[in-house]
Amino acid sequence: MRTARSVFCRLVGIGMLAVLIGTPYLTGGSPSFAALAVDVDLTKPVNITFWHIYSAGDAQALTGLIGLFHKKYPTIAINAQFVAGYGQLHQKIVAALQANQPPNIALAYENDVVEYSKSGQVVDLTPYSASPQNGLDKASLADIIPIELYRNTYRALGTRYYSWPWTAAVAVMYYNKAMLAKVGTQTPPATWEAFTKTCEALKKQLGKACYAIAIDASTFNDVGFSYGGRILQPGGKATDFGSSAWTATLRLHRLLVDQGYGYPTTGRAEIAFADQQDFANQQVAFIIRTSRSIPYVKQIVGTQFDWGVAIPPRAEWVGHPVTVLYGPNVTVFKGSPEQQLASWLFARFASSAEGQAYWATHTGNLPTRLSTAKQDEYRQFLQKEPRFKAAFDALPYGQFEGLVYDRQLVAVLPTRLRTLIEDTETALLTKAIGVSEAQARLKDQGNQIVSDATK
Amino acid sequence: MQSGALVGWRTRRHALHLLWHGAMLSICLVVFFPFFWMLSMSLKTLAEALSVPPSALPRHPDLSNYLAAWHAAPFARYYANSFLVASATAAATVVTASLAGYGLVRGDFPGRRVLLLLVLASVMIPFEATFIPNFVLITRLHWYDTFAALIIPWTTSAFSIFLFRQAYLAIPADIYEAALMDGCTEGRIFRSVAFPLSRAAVVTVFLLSYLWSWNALLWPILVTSSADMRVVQLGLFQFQTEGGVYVNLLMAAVALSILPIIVIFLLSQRLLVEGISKGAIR
Repeated sequence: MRTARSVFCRLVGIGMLAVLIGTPYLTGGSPSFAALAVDVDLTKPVNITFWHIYSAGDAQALTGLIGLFHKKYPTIAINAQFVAGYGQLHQKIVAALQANQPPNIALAYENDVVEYSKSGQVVDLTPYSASPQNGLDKASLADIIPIELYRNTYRALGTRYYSWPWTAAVAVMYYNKAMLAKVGTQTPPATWEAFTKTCEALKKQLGKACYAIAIDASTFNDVGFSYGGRILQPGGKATDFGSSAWTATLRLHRLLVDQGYGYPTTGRAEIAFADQQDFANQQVAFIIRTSRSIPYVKQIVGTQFDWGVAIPPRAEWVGHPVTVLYGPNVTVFKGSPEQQLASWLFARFASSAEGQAYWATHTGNLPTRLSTAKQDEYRQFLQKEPRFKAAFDALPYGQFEGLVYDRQLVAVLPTRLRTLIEDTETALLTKAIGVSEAQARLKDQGNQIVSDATK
Repeated sequence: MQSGALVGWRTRRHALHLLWHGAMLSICLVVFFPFFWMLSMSLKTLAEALSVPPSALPRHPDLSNYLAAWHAAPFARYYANSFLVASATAAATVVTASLAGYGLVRGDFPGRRVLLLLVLASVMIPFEATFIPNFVLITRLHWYDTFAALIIPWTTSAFSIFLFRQAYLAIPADIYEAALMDGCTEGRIFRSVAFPLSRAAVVTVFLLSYLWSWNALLWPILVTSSADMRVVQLGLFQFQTEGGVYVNLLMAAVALSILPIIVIFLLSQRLLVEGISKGAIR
């Protein structure tokens, strides 16, 4: 028998359900803005939020950078919010875009920006950069490393700047000078041929492997680029993994493990950066890593042995050094005209020679402008720190992994492709598959992935 | 002959005991080793923590890592937030799950079985499939960067409801009947009979909810922005940089972060084991 109480409880339950379902429609609604002007008045205080992943010393450097910016633009307050790592940052931005509450500016890689742009909330920075009042003149634009501007230009989105250079890093070879000296080598090998000869000498004379191979798509691509290879064929519809450059890349990797010159750090916790650990403990003479690791390696090696940094080796027939360019950019999301301009001004300041000199000196990142080296602060830093100088000298040779061609297409390297590269590299280096099978796998599955990504 | 058999039997019994204790000791060592390693790493310098081959014990134990870890982020605030959120979430989960579990046992309404299946099926929905719509709802409710966002969405769980249901099913039906005959309403039976008798389940649900809430990372990252609202797990990210992980400081911070959980567990382990085993048997 239904009592009044049970009927009441049922009605309450139905009501709660209605509230839960209906609330988004009652309280939601996306913000709308009138047509936005670029050069608006910023004499009144503006607050913007910046989502980033910097902790410890880098967070302090960011605070310092924001302080410098605030001196120039006292009405702009930046609320910099730490969001753990890049994965968490990406998830938070995706969720925030769905809720129409993104930050004003955030760190982002190119593939992230392409994804965010689907929300319609990423600001086109092209008119800001071209503004006579708040933009950059031709000389300033030309001062930015060309590949940095290139990778922030989204050709598939109308050849516009949907992000802006923030910081850079390159793949470098860390080498143990003491170990090389023991086998009579004073300079790091510049070619893969010299590299394998050095490894042979280290193996024979010291009984040690010479290279701890971190399983990483970017490092693998660096080797491929150093053989003259590329990721995609012109047109961007298929990969270039079937070419002789990648055959040579795979053969080199296999030779290193077959001869005992190198070993993969597969199976060891990647978060522990196993190859760095082995390098610091003089288990190997070489590792190839991002230049961002220089401060960390400096700490873990201490004064145990002398070590240096050099651009990674290349094939003998490739006439110039080659490396891979890393580093996030910043992207601006839609807000009020004042917030958007304030965000652009911060991105512009951060990419200026002054901002880059401060940031690079205090974090160990590399600048996105070559003229940064003329700033006293950074020039003195490079004089005191030859390892960073070596990384800086490698900057002009950095290649962008998402680079495509004259056909003006942008295909950023999808995560699936990176996973394929790393899985194939693992299988090759653990001798589960041979060179031919590895190359066939990269080519066939890679083409399928690119085809799916460019539909 | 009889004494010989007795001696043989005793010897076998001792041998079995030794084997049993040996096996248990091995399992304990395996389980305890990560904690030992965490403490060992937390007392080393960074270089020593990354040394190859690794050393079991620190050469020069250094407690300064704990101070450095504590000062790397506002951990006092993070601790307070985690404690508040975990306590409130666990307490609320006990309330809601116990009521829901009781309703699923004692309720007599159409679709009760279907409702139970739906509750259990919800366990299979991963967090990654729901965090975006949940985040949108949080922003629509203007709960972003508030304790409400950290606590309210987690004030019940299907697993907790299931545990309580099993605990109430374990109570003999005669006890419910006797209470009814004494004139108790269902509410009174719940308050005075069922809930007190489900003490083990209460402790289990409280502890598990506390643990899950304490360890949560992605949801607090999503729904908070100000430093005042952050929790302990986010503080651990301070030691993971683009260049490498400061494992010694990270382990010190981890040791600090799990300390409250360990203390609570040690104080209530008997009831926790009892609660889980009763649910499993039923």
